Amino acid sequence: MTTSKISRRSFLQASGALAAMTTLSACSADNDDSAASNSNSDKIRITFYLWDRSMMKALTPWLEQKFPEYEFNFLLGFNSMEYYHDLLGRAEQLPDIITCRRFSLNDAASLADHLADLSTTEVAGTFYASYLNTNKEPGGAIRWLPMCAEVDGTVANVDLFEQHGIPLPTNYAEFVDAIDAFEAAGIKGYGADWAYDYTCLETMQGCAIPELMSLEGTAWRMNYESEAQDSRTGLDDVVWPTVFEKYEQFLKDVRVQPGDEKYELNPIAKPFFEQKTAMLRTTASAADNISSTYGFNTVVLPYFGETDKDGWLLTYPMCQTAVSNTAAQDETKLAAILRVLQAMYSAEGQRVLAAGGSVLSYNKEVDTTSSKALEHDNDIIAANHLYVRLASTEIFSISQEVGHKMIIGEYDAKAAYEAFNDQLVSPKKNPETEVLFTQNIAYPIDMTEHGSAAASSVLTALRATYNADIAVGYSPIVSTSIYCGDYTTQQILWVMAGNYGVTQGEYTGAELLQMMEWLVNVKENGANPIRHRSFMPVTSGMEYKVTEYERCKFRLEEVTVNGEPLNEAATYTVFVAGTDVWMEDENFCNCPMPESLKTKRMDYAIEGADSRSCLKESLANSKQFPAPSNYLTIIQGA
Amino acid sequence: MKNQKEARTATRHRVFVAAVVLVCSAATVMGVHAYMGFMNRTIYDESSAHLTEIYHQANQTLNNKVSFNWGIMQMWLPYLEIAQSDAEIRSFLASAQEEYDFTDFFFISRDGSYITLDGEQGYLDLGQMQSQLILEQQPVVANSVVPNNPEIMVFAVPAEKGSYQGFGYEAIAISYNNADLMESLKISAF
Repeated sequence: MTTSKISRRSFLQASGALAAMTTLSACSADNDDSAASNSNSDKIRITFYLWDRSMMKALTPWLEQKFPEYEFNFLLGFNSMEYYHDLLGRAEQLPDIITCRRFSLNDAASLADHLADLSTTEVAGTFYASYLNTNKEPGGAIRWLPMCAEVDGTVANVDLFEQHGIPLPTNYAEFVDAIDAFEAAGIKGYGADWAYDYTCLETMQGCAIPELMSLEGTAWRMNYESEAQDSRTGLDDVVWPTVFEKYEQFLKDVRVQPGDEKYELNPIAKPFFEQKTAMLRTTASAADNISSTYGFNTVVLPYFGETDKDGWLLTYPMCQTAVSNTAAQDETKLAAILRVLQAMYSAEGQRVLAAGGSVLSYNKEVDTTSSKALEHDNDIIAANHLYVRLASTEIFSISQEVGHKMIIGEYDAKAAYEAFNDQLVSPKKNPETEVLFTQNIAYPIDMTEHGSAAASSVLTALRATYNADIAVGYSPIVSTSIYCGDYTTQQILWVMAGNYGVTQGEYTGAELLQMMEWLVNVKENGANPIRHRSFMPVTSGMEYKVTEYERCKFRLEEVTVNGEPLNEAATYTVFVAGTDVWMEDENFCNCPMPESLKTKRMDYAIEGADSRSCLKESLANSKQFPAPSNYLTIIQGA
Repeated sequence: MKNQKEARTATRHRVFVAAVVLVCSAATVMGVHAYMGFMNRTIYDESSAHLTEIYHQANQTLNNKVSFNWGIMQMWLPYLEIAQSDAEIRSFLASAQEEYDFTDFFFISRDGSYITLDGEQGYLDLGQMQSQLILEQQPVVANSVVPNNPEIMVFAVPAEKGSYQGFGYEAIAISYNNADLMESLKISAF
């Protein structure tokens, strides 16, 4: 009896165990992936370097919302392949996702070994093959994916043309006639921000697109972009002499004067907004914004040719995206990264990145973003008269130097051609690449519960420039860790994420407290000044404590100076570095600065200085990034 | 004493049954696992063999298509040279389009600009193939695209310099969008 009882029980137990094991076995076979991902309770961390702040307008919050299962670390980098090359040299591996707008195959070649081949991915399959082919290496690998295209051209104030009875130009001769007619009426015909390298590059290439797109022009470009790292390709003697002749004529026709080479955006944009300039070199995205903000109608004019069929639009991808080879070795991480890229290159992702601006897409089933300003160019787009600018780092810098010398009359077309060619073949040594000092101690950028050591070090260096008691930095302050090793001027500047306005003056403790509340606390309308944790304000000579009551939402609890509570009645000399647009603009943090602080911000501006000049000056003296401090304490709570 | 012996026997029996059950379970799990592995491998092998076969067939068909298109375009060239007027050319090529189901016909200039039979002009981006077509005088096939239009496959052959509607050309080409190409391949191959 006992035996049969045990036997029955054993049988039932065994059956149960067998059923359970079989079920588990079947489940694990079917769901290998989910089991693998569930086994890791930590979120997948993705480090994402942004070429420009504009990527944070809508894209970064959208990605965080779309992928709550991933922990993004967004960092503001630089728009240069050299920057990533330097990062690679110091950190020994690239961030998971990198982006860059200034792109050419020859510049990108040095990073190829460290980037994943994306040619067989699903996201690569969403592109029109002919667009993606331009990024294909001889072996077939595709490491950079182009984001939708910006359209560059001339924005014309249509209302002004109508008011003065001047027809919108359809070819180059009519374009020049229009400028002459406006100048005769006392209105500036054409304005451009000549100070910038991109303006020189785009106008130089834009005025001679038919030549650059000729068989000889495209063949030269292919040779140039595929040059080996140790060889130098000069300008050809068929296409480029004509480019400079046409550019010389263009500069005369748009009535450029010596001195114009100093014009930055604001001095030339303001008269256009005030309808005192008829045409402005800018992008299609800007044209739409100008129309909606200033209330007059605009269209984008192309770079004109001899007839109305010869007009071309100059375009370039908003940025190019690549994935680190190291990240791609981790299958789970690669899958996550590819999901993120798939989202970015979807119709919605491109719309989010364009943030309402007009762009052209390189992807199938993604329509051109509709735009009133671009409708004027539908025939040009339909004819595929879209020129992609040649945008290597050296072409940018040489275009600026040679272009400026043409503007001031130092070079005619022939001299410009020769100078350009000389610099391509025998590059000048950049004084910013001389070693200034050797850093002895490394400070990581990682954001901890006590802040970022690299950010603290940079802000302490800035504070030392004018011996301030306290320094406050807002907007993304640092771009990379500080490493042991040699630092040139260029490398010093790459540590800091961008360039900021700087001010220094007397603030009371109460005002400092108000400043910190503005920089930390979520506002009544829900606006959050801390979009991403890595962008929390940085202080030097002063510490602050916050409670994180929701993910990335903080409340200021305490501000101390040398461990003692801030004396609200005391006066401190305070150095402030930051980008006001980042905090105030509704597209970014949407937290307007309190009026009382704004007045001081304007009054205390340090003339002729910015954060870059301050950092250079400070480190030229100290020859070392200073030691960081624990400027922040984050408490988790309600 | 007897009870102790019975208890020991019962325990031994239980252990034995448990061991048998465990061995059976393990064997079953291993069997299921091995069977699933076998099934996966079989499905993978058969699918990839099937895909490879389809790929080879498609590749062969496309190769035939490329040779065929280059061949017919080369046959048109003498006619284009002796045609008396643009109207004659248009009429000749329009009937060719009806017969061969291509999407568009292009006269291509040295720099890649094109004009269609209807006189529409634009730029056909053939990439590196442009130099092969014009400088090396080789027939080419390439993907190309015009924004907001379906991607096209372009078959082009070099031609003697000529003129159509005042547009100077050095090559001619026909293009297929995806739908026309699929249709065309289906007619020829499947």
